[in-house]
Amino acid sequence: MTPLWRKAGLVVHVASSVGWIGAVFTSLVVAAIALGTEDAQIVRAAYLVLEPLGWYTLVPLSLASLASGLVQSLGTRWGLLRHYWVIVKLTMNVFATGVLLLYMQTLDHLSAAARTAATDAAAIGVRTPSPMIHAAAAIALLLVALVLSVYKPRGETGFRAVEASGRSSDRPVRT
Amino acid sequence: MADQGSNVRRLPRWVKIFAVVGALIVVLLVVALLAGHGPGRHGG
Repeated sequence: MTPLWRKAGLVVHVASSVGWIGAVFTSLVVAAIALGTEDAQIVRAAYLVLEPLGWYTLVPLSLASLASGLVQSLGTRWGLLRHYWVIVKLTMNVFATGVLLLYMQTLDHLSAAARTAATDAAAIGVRTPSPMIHAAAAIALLLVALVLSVYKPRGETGFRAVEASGRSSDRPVRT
Repeated sequence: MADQGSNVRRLPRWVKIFAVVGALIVVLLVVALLAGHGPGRHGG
């Protein structure tokens, strides 16, 4: 991968990953607003917003982060299986994306319940701490992944898919 | 003595900590799933 493409890929990876964290923060705030109010209109609005927020921001950004991370690792000397920090980060990314895709069923369910609640009392009854808990856990996980990608803790696995040629221009770009 | 100068790579301490925490989280998730906290089961 040429330096130009490597940098372009890095821009996509950082933008999608940081955007994902921002979108989860938004979800956390919306979920907290729903949980902390007794106003049925606000509860309905919050759960109706959380579902498209998930499908149109969280899911695309998580998939973009995962795909761009794979491209970055495979297309640079960092490699996919050569450094522990890359493997750990990839595992965390796959885990978070998988849990998110599964959790979208819950957000679909909550949205439908809020939409069809016949009375204000029924809408209030839809409230659950679940979206807030999941968002808080996701933020913690994504922040740990962010720290890993900045600090890049030492540790090589010994697995070398491509032997180093020794050329300085092929060395990993530290971000 | 035999390990001196060998190519055996030790697992970094931070990786061991991540592995333990990750395993605990997986166990917690399995317990939660078995207790009925699965996708789409909230807010009923």
